[in-house]
Amino acid sequence: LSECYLICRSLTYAQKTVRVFERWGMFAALVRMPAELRDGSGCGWCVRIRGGQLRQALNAVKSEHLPGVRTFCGNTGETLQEVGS
Amino acid sequence: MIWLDSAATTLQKPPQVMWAVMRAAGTMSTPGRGGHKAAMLAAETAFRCRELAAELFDVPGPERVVFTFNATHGLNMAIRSVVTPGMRVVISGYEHNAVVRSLTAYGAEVHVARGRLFSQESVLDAFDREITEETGLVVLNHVSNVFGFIQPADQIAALCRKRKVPLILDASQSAGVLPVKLSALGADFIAMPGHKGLYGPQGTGLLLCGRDVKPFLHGGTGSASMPREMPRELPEAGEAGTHNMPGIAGLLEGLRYIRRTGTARICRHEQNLAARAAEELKKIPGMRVYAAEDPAVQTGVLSFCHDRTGPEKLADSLDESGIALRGGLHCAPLAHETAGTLPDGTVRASFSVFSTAGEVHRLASAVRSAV
Repeated sequence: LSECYLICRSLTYAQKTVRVFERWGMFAALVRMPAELRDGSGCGWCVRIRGGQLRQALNAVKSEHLPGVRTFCGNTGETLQEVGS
Repeated sequence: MIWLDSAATTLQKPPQVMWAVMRAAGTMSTPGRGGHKAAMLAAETAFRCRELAAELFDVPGPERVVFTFNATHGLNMAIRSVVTPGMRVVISGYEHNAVVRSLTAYGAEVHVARGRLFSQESVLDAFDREITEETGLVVLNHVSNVFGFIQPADQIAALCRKRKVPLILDASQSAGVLPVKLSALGADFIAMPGHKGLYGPQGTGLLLCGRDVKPFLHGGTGSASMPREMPRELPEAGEAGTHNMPGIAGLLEGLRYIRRTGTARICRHEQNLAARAAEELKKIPGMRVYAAEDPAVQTGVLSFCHDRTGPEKLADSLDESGIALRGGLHCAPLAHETAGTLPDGTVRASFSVFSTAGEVHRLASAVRSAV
């Protein structure tokens, strides 16, 4: 899987998550939520990471007491699949 | 012009504040409103401002820093989040109308814990007496905007924690001058303006949140846009509508200036000027100067009045001499009632990090000529 999206509860939480990932040495980008991931709540914000960093990212979320996030992964151009939270 | 009205607004700002305002006005839109460069630059700037405020004011996370338009806005939001009609609320005898009028508007039953001017012990005793089992909230002005009196916030906060009473701190005159620590105090909210001791532009303020806020304004937040209700998460719950990005960018530079200079150094400078002004003004016949015997309980805010020349008239005369300060009640009639300076009030000189000893000397000379 080439990339993963962690859906955050708000822009500020997404920014906080990016800061944490950067501190953990990961590449992380703040991006608007792809339309296909919207669950009826409207616009939202995600943190995009490389697929190979998912485990490390989820560890960081847990260790730094960030709110639980829904995570979707997939290869570029393919449909994203939820991989748990 | 000599600016000695810094308790209202610090007119002299570090130059980087003004540059940041101009840069933001031409490059930034609003956080969360789109993914283009102008919105993302705004988002990053706002987040850096939250991060730095959280660091300076001991806030558990940047999401707990809400941008407001001024301290009054923050106090209204905080009070509205806690007060229910008929709630017994204890306040100090030095509160600003931002607190008194908000509590009245939200139907609180207000009790004043009145302590003697410049006596922290007397204030603490008064709160000890007034905070009962029925008390639902304490609101405390950290520093009087009229007299510069530093109230014993640490001890009153400890009393609130012990009696499990929520605390809202009005840090309008202390932010940037004294240590202000949300977590250490265990306060529910701390409100502060951006345009006074933090050297940001007017139209900015911060509400530090130890608990969730009830939205004060309702509208767009840039995320979770489908529900008709405001999001409950901080900071979005307190920030409907377009942000004042030029203001926030300027405030960020003001906060950086405070971190670099240090509040202890700023406070010492302002206290020294106030003490020097008090010394000079006391030499003028008929002058009453409200200076603390213990200089540690007063910031760089000094009130004075003359037996024959009223505060407004004296302030007007000084304005003609090119010295800007403020006479009257300073939107804090309760403080004047407590100190016994009603109905006329006082003239207030208030200093900033940019004030100088030469300006104090010019003030004393001008006052001597005016009375």
